[in-house]
Amino acid sequence: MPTLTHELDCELKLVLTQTKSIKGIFLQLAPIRGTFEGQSKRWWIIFIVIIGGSLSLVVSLILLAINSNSGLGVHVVTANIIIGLIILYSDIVRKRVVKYKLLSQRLSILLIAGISGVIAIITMGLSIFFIPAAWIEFFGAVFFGGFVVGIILIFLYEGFPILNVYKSSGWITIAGFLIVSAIIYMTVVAEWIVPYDPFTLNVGPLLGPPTPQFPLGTTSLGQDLLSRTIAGGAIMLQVAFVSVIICFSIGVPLGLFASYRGGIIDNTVSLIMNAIFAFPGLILAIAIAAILGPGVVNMALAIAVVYIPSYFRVVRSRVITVKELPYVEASVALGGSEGAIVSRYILPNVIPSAIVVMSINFADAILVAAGLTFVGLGLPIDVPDWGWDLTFGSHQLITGAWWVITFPGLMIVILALGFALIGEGLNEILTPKLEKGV
Amino acid sequence: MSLKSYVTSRVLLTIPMVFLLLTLVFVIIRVMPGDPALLHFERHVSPEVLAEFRRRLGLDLPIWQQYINYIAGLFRGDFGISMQDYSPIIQHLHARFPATLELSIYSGLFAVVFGVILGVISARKYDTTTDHSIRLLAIVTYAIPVFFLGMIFQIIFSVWLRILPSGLRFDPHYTPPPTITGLYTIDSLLTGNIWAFGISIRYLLLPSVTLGIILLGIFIRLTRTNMLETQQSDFVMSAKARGLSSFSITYRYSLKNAFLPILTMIGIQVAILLAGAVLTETTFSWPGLGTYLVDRIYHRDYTAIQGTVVFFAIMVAVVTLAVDILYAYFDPRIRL
Repeated sequence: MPTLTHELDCELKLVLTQTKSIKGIFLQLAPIRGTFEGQSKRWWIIFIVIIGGSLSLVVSLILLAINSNSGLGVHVVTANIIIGLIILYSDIVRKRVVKYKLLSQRLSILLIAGISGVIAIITMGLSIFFIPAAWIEFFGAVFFGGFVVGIILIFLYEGFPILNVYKSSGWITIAGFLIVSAIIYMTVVAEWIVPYDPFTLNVGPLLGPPTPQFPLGTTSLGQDLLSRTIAGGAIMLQVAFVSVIICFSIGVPLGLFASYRGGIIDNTVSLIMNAIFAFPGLILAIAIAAILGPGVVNMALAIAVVYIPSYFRVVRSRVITVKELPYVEASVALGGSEGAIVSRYILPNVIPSAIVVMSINFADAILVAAGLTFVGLGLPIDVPDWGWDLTFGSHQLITGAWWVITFPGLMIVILALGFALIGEGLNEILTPKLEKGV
Repeated sequence: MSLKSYVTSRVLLTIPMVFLLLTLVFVIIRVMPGDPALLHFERHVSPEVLAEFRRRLGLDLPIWQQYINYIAGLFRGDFGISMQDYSPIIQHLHARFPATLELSIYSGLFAVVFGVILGVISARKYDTTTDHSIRLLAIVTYAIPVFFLGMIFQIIFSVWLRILPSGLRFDPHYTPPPTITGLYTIDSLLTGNIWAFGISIRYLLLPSVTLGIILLGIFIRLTRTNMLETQQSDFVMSAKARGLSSFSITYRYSLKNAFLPILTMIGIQVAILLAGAVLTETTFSWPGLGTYLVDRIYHRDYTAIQGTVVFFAIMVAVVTLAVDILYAYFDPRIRL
């Protein structure tokens, strides 16, 4: 058991490390004298899981990059890491040098302008200058992958204060965030690191069990399952992102204005929202997807309709509480316009709850998308997708081919789990009174 | 407010909700872009066939008249006719409803019983390894797609161990018990047929446990939170001061009071239960409403899809109403 002096020692070390320019989780994990002394069993388990997990991920990424089908795996991954380090470094420099808010705002405007410029160049290059699509895919993977790596690095680096303040809920949030960003990164660079082309038939035996050559086995069409598992997240992530954006941009404003105005509008909208909320979500989504037909946007729309009420209800309950607070009444008395009151005084109180709903919504959207694919309302077969692999695998179940369902299914579970963990952690961090004393 | 007037007001409030739901389904299937008749045929058909098809299904009428016919039909218990063979949909729904009901009852029971037990254990062992593992289990069960869990169970128990059937509702070599309630387990007990009871339990085990595990998480979390809340209240404190055993405090004082929110949750969970039942039935070829719905999607039978979805909507509304009334019966404060 750690003694009191040891704890004080640790506190001191924290203060010292935090004042240094290099702080963050790296130093905490680095073997400083005293770090490993007197730690509990639980601490050791967590430590070994974190170190072992991230090491095995990095090693498998390197192995994949070396053995990639495209031959460019090493280049892409190295470029990603370099861009990630540049982003991390510029973030540190910005924090240390820029002391004025104005300058930091200008920098972020510059960053946004830069990103939109790159997107514009890419789209224009595609349509006007006839740059080969393969080049655009390559540079897209390099820049976007680098961006994701940068975010992961910044999170590891800045995450330490969050962990220090929020303890277990901070750990849960960061774990979820890392899981999700790792999967996004994998999907972004998938094309360049897969060992075989995920579409090519008969690269190996039909329905072959895992062997060193095909580590996760092959499908009933002779495709390499490892490649399909790496590349299969794109559809789910797209559907989830599009549906969450639709839900958020309809549910939150609707909830804000309907419940701020009150009266007949509020009653009508609430009644409709409660009716949709009471309905089994998947069944409603099935009905909508059946009539809209296949497609990423159609699937996302079907899911969005089902989840708008959860935003509306959360926003409404917050607005009704906040609306009565003295500072809102004061701004009404001072003659503030309705738009200003809602956007300046009420919206900031609503956003934390909406973000918690959002992360749960991500997990739900992924599960519903998988469910829609399972009942036959998914996308055409020409895209590798975990949902499809799982559905096709279910037909081979009787032969005992466990690998065709296990790996795509596990990926869906891990992705949904990542978002659920973010939701769980943020729920305790952003809206603490929901679990006060518990 | 007396219980009677509460029930009356609650029923009156349910009517507009059901009406809205029915309208919503109608809007989705008939008004939204996409012509069901054209979508059904997929390929080019002659205009005469299409016109005759529309006439038989009543799809050639103006949209408001279709809507009136639809609502009026529902009042008479008419859920429309199938696009495939023009058979009344209610006949299929009636034949398949008991299977879904049986699956839902047993998986709901599994989830409530084990959810409450695990939740109580988690609250009693607050902030220990047991507590953390149970909380982790609750999150993980939330993130597993129900059909994936079903497939894992099928491969373990039916393919490798060969001890449980991988699908269907009753052994095809035997005749199922005569229909009294439609639930095989109850029918076989009523007719005193223990053999049939054993078979139906064997076939019921995997699907209901699969669906039950998916619902487990929410009950664990709810029980845990409510137990921890009631354990901080004054009456538990006074029970402790009087020297009652921790066991009796947990089960006779805290759990009793933590049970009311769980009852409300059961009402909300019915929607999730039914959605999960659709996927579970498809995984285990369970001949219920879910497999009917998926089968109709496969045949692009839009009138049947509409009928089934409407049936689900009415079922959810009725169960929600029943739970609300039960809640008011157990907790008089709600009627104030």
